[in-house]
Amino acid sequence: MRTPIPHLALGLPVSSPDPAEAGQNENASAEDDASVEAQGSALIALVQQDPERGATELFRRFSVSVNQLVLHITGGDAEHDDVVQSVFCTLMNTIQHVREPEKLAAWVRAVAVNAALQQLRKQRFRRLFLKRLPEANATRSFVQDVEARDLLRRAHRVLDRLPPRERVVFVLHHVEAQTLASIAETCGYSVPTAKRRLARANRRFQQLVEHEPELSELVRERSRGGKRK
Amino acid sequence: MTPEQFSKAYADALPAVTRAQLRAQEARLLASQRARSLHRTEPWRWRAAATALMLAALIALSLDLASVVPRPLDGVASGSRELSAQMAGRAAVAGALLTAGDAPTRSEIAFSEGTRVLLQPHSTLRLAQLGPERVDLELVQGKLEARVHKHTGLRWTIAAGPFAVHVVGTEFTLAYDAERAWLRVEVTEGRVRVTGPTGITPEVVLDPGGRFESAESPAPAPPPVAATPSASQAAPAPPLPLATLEPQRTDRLRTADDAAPRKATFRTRVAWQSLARAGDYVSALRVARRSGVDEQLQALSAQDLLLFADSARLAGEPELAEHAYLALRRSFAGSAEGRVAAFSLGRLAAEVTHDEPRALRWFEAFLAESPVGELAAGARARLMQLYASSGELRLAAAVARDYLAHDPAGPHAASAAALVARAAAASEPAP
Repeated sequence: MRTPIPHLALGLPVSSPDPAEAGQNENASAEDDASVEAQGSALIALVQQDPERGATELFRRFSVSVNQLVLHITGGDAEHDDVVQSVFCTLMNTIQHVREPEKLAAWVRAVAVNAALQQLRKQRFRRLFLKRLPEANATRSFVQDVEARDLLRRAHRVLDRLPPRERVVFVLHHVEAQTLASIAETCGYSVPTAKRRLARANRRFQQLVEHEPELSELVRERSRGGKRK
Repeated sequence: MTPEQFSKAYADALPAVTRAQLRAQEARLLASQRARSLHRTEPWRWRAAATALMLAALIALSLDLASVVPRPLDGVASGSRELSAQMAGRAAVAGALLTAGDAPTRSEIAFSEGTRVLLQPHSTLRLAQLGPERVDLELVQGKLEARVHKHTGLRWTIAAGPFAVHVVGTEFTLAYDAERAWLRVEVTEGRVRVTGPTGITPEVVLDPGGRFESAESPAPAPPPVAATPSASQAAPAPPLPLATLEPQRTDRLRTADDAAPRKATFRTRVAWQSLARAGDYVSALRVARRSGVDEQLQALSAQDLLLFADSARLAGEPELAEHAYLALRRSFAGSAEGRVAAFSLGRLAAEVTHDEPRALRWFEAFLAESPVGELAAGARARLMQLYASSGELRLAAAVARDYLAHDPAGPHAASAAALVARAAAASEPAP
């Protein structure tokens, strides 16, 4: 029996709208910059001295946010676990290059977003040659709520048509509730670029959902508390 | 639907990452770290690990191959191969009429060979035949989702009114409305074949992601045999005679009034509407042109005409889109689709042809016809923007006030308020 972790019930936004607070989710004592820096430095040193213990610590501290971020961006891709694994392998291989330990959480987010973006591009490339992709975990579980599966299938149909970068910005802003400044920092853009991409993604999204009246209906039904007509 | 509403519903619907999944991820990460450290320090150990890994892969491959080989039905001696089904822990026999009540949860029907069917509330399914070689079900009314177990050698057919869905081994959703003789099939995995009212041709083969939706019957279809009297009974119903399925379909075939027109509609809808609904607008347009749809727009229904026009717009053919939207306005003036066409014409003029006066006229026409509704806020926002960019501050402010009155928390509320304030400041006499 698979037991969901309460704080990972992924409908609830874990990231805070405020980028400063987002750091607090990763580090319990984020209010104190010195403490955050000390924690970051200690973790980096641990990874370098004892990779096994360092990997365990790194995973325990960031697994929740990385899983959530990847899941939101890729939408429960069938290769979700592979993407998460690649994120942590990248973190382990490159952690010695982190120059500002107090920004460790932001750096982890950036690596996760980058891995998710690569995955979206891979999916897009595969779609050119394959008639079908391995189905997302989100819709594989047969016992899951049928309406939720229906909604996800249609939502993926819309999200899959957004260009990967626009999709990332769209998800970070609307699902992860990140500010433009935070998105710009995570993705390595300037704030105006992030703003422009978000506006374009919103526009494209509106055009796409106009042709998915059933999706609109499902969303409305769910927002009314899942009551059936 | 706003991005915020969408995002909330999307995040709610996504599955939760489980503790087991996290534990597996952590173990995998640690294993990779151990392999790396072994590789760095003692190459022979790494080679031993690689050999073990290869052996494990070979074993996994052989197990995988074994799973592909057809197996006898679970829990059934290979000699008899009788199939059984259960619903809510009670056995259901061939001929039983299974009805899902009005409880919000779906009723699951489990077949002994592994197939599972989820019946939505208020849906009725008949187990017409449960034979050793074939299974015939009939969706009398409602919606079901099925995952048919592969490689059992069974032939599955699900009839729905005059339609029949032939399954190989797949996962799909089937919805049927007996009153309208309307069917929708959506395939998630595998392949199904849908046959139409004639029972033979035309037929449609659906691959993963494929969707078929029948045209609605103009007149209500005859009620399904034996469905009504026992539809409210709790499952399982008393056994009914086997194979009631075929005679029913044959009866429908003999009512030949609608056979010919329905056949034609069937083929056309599958050809381009399905492609358009799946988002492949270019292909939809190509197929529609091949069948001469673009030259006979007046023959299309309002929904199809709107779908065609939208496809043309999204496929990058604004002239054809405009032509179709105008045809829709002419043929179906006053309809919901006709009103949407006004909005789309405004958007075409504003975004594609950059004809601002024309865009203004269409958006105003749309708002005059549809002052409230989903698109109204978008039309007001665009009008506001168009007036402001053309220097008509007073008119822009009037639209902005209208916007704020209708949608005070809308995505453009801040811009509208700013515009109103700007207009008020401009109208104040200079000190």
